[in-house]
Amino acid sequence: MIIVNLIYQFFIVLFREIGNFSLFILETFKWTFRRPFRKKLFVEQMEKIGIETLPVALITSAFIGMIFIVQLYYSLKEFSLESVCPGSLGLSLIRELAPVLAGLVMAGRVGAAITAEIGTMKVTDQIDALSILGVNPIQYLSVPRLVTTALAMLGIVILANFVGLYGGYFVGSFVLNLNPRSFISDALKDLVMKDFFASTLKGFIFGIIIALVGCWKGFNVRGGSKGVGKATMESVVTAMILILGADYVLNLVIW
Amino acid sequence: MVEEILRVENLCKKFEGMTVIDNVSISFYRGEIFTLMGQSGVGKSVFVRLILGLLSPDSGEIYFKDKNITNSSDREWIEIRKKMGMLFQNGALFDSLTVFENVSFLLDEHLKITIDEKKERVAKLLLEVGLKDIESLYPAELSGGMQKRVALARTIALNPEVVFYDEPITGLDPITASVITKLVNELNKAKKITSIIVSHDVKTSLSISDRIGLLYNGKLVAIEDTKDVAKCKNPYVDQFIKGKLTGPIKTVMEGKWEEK
Repeated sequence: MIIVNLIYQFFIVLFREIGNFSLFILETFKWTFRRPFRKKLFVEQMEKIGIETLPVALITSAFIGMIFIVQLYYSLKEFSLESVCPGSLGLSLIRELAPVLAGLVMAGRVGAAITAEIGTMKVTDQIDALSILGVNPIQYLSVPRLVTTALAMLGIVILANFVGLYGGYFVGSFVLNLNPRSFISDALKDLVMKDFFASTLKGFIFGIIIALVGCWKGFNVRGGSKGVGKATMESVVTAMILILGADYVLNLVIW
Repeated sequence: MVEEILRVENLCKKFEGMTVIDNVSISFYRGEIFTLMGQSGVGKSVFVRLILGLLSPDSGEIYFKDKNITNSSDREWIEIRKKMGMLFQNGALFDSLTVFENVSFLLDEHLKITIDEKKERVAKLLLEVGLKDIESLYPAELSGGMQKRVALARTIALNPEVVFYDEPITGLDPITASVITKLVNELNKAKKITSIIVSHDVKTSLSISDRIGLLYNGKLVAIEDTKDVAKCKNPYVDQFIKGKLTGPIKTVMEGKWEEK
């Protein structure tokens, strides 16, 4: 009986959270298209979210390209299939690895920062102060973060594709002695426009997920500094799970 | 004749089944200083947050200048709040913004003025609260009293008609507390602002308020003119003002020290 009760309580909490999150998403989208558009906030967030995160995302992508080509090389060498390494790298990196890993890195860096910042504002009454000063907190805090994270992710994924590919090229050509002249063209030969489009679309959607989860968790912080820490952790974990879930759904839809 | 500026009718609010505000009705008048008193946790701050639309009441109505604002839309609240201000207990300054950016926040959001006009207005507002040349500092670099004064300057930037003060002197030393109290009084007189103070500091409340209200168990158990408090027969007021342990206000006195 206790177990049934616990399961019942779990689903009640789960559905309430889903409902609250859905309302928050609607509210954020509603305010996204309302005036005033605070240019200064967008620029600030773009610098914080896009430019400051770029090096971490690109370093991650470069290493993924480098590691992946080594793994492919030694696995396929046994079957004398080294020549398919660049093509496999291109497909895996652009279709899957670059957007997903960039998303996970962003969730850890940007999602956590968003929740911590908004959560701290919540526990120190700064969010209520915004309302009192005649400013909608969702429009002031969530909208710039949503728009800039989504756009930043779009740009970061395009660059991560490029950097990851060249990371693989560098190791493949200079360490594993694969043909440097044909490496890039081989890596790209099986890819079609849809792959590049899907890769950037994934980045864009992951960016939306990271920002929405980060803001939502921040706005719902309870319990002082301990609550901020807990919400930050939950924000990263939730965003990561949702990114992987969304990736699965997008793969089913796109391919 | 005294003009009514704000009226609350039969306001109720529950949290998870627990009644925090229970059928409260009261009117506030233009230019008065009203202090809402009560023990910690009786719902004073919740009451203020309900009036300001930060929380939604379960039932009841709120009128601002005879207009029902209870179910106002987000857009309408933005306009209403330009005419109401609030000084939070901790100041609630934006910690990532400088003093200048904090004080000019309302001006940036709601007015179209040049940077020179803005600088001039910020300096004037800071001077009104007794501060000077601190525009470039961040809130963390200020003392508690200075933070409250900067927050007050931010609150009055658009000349609100009503200002709520949530525990304005709690946590301050007696001298700084007197400075804040004097400022509240001066602002009230100079700008004809209706001041609604939430406090449990009896001495200060009686010294600056025109009227006081006492909240207990979610109910407004007394509303008195300050000048009549001394001869007031209300047992709640009598107990609270005199700090008596016995009376209609229940006190938690069940704990006992263990004898050695």
